[in-house]
Amino acid sequence: MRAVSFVKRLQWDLPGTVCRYGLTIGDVDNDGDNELVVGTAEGELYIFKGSELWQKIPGLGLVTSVAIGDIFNYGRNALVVICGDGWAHIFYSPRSVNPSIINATSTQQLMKEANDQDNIKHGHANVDIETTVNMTSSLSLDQVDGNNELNELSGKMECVHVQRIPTNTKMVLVADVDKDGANEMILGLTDRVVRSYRWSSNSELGRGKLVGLNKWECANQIGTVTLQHMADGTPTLLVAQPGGTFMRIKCNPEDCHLEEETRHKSNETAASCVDYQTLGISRMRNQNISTEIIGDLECIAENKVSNYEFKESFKSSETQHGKNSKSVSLELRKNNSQSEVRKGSFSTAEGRRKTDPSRDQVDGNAFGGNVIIGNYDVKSEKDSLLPTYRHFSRQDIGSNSKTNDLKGKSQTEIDVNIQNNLLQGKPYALATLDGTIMLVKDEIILWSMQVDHQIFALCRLDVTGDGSDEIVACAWDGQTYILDQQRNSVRFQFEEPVRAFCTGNYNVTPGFPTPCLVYNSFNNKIFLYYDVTLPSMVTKPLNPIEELDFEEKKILDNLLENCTDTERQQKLQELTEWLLYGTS
Amino acid sequence: MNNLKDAHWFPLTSQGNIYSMTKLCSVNGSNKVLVASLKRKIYSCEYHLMPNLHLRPLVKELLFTYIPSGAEIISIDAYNKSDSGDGFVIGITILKASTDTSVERYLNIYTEGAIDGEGDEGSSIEAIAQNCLMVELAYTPYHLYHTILPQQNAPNEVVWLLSGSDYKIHMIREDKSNHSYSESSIEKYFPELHDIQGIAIWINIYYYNNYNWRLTVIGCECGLVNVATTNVSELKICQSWKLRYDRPISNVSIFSLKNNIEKPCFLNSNNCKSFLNDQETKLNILVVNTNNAVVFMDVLNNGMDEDITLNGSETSDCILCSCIADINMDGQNEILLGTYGQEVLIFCFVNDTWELIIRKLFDAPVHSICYMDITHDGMKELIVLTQRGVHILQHNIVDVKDKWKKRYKKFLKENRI
Repeated sequence: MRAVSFVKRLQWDLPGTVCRYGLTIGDVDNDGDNELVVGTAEGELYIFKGSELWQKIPGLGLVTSVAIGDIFNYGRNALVVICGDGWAHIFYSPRSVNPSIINATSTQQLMKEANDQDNIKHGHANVDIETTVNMTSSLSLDQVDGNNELNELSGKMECVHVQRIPTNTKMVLVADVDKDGANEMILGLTDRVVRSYRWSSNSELGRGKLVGLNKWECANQIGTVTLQHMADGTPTLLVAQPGGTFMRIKCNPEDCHLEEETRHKSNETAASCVDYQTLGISRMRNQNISTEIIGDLECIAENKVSNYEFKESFKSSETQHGKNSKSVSLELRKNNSQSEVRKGSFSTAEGRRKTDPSRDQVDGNAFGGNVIIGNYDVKSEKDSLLPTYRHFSRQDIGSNSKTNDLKGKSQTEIDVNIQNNLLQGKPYALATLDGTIMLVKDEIILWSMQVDHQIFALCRLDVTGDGSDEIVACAWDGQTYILDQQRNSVRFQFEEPVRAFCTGNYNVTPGFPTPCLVYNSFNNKIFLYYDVTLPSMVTKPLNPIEELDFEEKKILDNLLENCTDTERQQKLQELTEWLLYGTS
Repeated sequence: MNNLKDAHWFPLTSQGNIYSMTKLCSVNGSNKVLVASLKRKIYSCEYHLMPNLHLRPLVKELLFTYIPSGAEIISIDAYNKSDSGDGFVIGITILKASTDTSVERYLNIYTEGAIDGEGDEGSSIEAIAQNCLMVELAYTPYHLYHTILPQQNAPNEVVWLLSGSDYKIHMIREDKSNHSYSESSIEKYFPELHDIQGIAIWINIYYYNNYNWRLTVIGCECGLVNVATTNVSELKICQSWKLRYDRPISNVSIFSLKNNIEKPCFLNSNNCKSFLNDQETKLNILVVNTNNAVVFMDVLNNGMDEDITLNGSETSDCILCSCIADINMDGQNEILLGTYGQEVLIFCFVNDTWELIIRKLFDAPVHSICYMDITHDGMKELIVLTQRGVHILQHNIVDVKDKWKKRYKKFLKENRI
């Protein structure tokens, strides 16, 4: 296997234990650049920006999971910090000039300790209906105002909301899972439960809270919870289960009423939306091995190949042999439809890029036209990608009106293309601790490979810059595998055992996000490898002939006539050497 | 130069040194690199072209015989003694503490065995590794180097030169009649290498004027640099210079600014062979002491007078190795320096001075650099041996392809085909 060594890295000291999901990369302060957020089990939150520690927030409890996303549903990112001991904190950068609600709340400095007693009481009484702790009046306003002005200048994060939630949360996800256009917060708990929450601000100003929506119980321990869109654009939650299997949850908006009277019913319907996927040969795998899953892998340029492989694996899903020998007839037959699909996927990507800037502009006018993948109704401002992910494509910052025009004009066109494109869902990847990595699409295993290292983290990263996601799998001993969706692999050895791992596009210099690998070692250090780029996943020899004109090729063939293949190869090598090093 | 991208990397189980990497160049154009690590392991790395036109790196551990356990490898060198096929000769110097007080030191020479008509088998590298001739040394070996011994009325012979802790350079020559290697007196063949009064860390010999003359440079541990031009047929030292630095000399190198690469003969319709015209070749000498690097330009005409210090070479810790390569493919050689500060510095000759154009960071101190075509496509790769492993960096294919096409078109135009 090809191996590489990355050397550009940043290194920070980080006293404390970081949980598996306790670190993430995203634009936490809405300035257009991505930051690294790390929470420790000692209750400290570190935010790194550029090459420095930007902010440190102490006293949070046992931070198990952090997420950056638009939890408030007004187009700007907030930071959700979930503690295993049953607290949800939401931090927000006051730099925004957005809805007044946040300014109102953000003026409050929260002192959790003071109210602990009270909260815990509530928490015990009532676990499903969470109590909000929004201490609007516990501090003198003067003091707070001074603080706030300072923070507003620097854009530092402020705690805007603290709430009691059930304990033992393992991971958090901010995403729209019920296609209602508003983001939900999904929690995966170590007690085999997945819960969803939504921010509700319909009470009086500055008094929003997270409201519980659904609770699903799994048969086994939860590995990861990830968002995956089905072929028709329906968002689903994939909950990894031991043994390389997963549970799929579809939640529709109509099942997610907040009212008490429908709660009972909604739980019933929700149950009917759950199915369990064993992925073919799951019996071959160890039933107890923990599993990681990552959904919604982008595959833009490589559609053709992956389609092909999809077909191939249809025919012989057990064997992997046919991968390289491409059958011509199959390709020809599929050629037409594939070019359609490819076009479709390009224009989808285009459409999405065009809409993204409207969310990233810092002028506060976050409400632009948004083309949502799939032809369902747009209810509010958001698209259906993972929040940490959509900030990566920030080209073409056009005006909102332009985007609106685009939306109007090309909506139908895009819809058609989208339908083409999404007839097949996006691929998703699974990895088990015993070293199996699988790429799955529409519940069919496209390929799987076995490595002899214990994989504990599975992430996505576009290291080749071609728009399609590579799968990054990290093992406890630091061995990191980067795989593209065609099963080409590259290995990178991080020299220490790894406690927590994440990937993302981090801004070491403002304005230039680069793909990054972040490792937390057991020696209380964070290593961030930046500019992790490879021109291609495979190494190829220089083969200039394939791009020559017909005429030029003919001359070359004349020069090389009467040669055997090996002679020809040698002569070409000589010619190349002479052209590159002998002439100028 | 920025377009050099990681193609492959492999780790070493134990670290090497500045003498640990050598290349094996086969006549048919396929090249390998051999890397020795201190604790006896020797790896070969090559590339295989897969049916789907992808390149697959192949790193093998080679098991050389007669390297006892507990021995440490000091230096490795190799050459191809055959003009038509693959007749590799690999030399490895080892050091083994036999008792508490005494150490045994050997030069192991591996070469293909008696040809028994088995065809290819005798010359495969695994077979060579099993066929060892030992020379016991009475000194601690340093740089193992090979050079040509020009002879009248006979094909040129390749001999080993080995610098030792006894302040001498030893010449080790094949004794064909006895099928062994033995030391011959150096003053008989290389008078300029005799009596150097220092431990030579690096030796470089350059033949010019159709093997009638040679330029020799030796860099010593004590900071001494010996430069000499010798008339080969008369074995007379014509000119010699002695320079003294206050630091060890880690590397010396003789080079010309331009590489003379012969135009492939199949391109010449009228069969005129373009001979290298090296009367006009200006030879330069690069002297690397651990602190900075100095280039003496056009030594044959100017002597050791015209020196240019490489500005910026002092900024990155101790310099361990150098490499002369046309890495930006402009027809003019660049100087690459590898430093203990984990960097490769690249200097380009512009406006009569050497300018630092690129610094490239690596994962560990750089011990050795080599620029060679390991993928057999005509384009060379940069191979960097660091303390932890071996990096192979490939030029960005797309950029080079453009350059190739442009030059090919120019060639077609010039020849009006």
